[in-house]
Amino acid sequence: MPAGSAFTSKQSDQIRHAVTTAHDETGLHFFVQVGLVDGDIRAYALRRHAALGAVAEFGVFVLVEPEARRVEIVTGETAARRLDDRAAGLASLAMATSFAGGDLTGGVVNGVRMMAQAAARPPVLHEHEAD
Amino acid sequence: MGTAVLAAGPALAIGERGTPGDKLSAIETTAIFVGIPVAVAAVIAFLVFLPSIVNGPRYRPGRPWTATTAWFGEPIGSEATASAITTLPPATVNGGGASARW
Repeated sequence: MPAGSAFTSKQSDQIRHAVTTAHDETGLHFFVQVGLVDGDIRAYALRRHAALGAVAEFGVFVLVEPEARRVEIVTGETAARRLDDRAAGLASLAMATSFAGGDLTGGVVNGVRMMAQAAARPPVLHEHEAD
Repeated sequence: MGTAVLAAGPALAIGERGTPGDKLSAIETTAIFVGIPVAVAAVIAFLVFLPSIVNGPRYRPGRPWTATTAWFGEPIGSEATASAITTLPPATVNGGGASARW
């Protein structure tokens, strides 16, 4: 991977489009960061999510650390109600699988799309007791 | 008609008609026996590398990462604000998330 941008302009457009579409479909704010992180990656992701300020509550922050091979998803209080941890976990696994195959763009695009689909469904407020 | 084919037959045999032409010059020989194979190899090599030229550099897990950090979504908050945060707001603490490695 040479110095400079990790994505071609076409790849950036694809990711940007996925992020914008996800926002339009769900009303949640999606953020994706791809790059190196010093120190504890989960702690950094939480701080970076908190730095979103007023948007943090509705924010879904995706951090991809290509050298440590880690993907972190942080959802805000309201966002987590729409996008539960199970759906986020599923998206993170799908992304990790794509990344392991060397496909950063496809992984991010699919992951964001999966989360948007999960969040677009109406939340289950009351689950029926087993009869 | 049968006689016409019989008469034409021997005339069409190789080497029966026409002048054999001059000997190939050294330049022509090189062009045919070196130039054409090299050109073919170059075309094949170009076709092999074409996908990576079009798609840009490929991410390879395990290799050092030298690219700049990429950010997608509205640019809200910054590295500086993030590093200044010591206590997380409830919006983040009461949220959720997931992580995976590869």
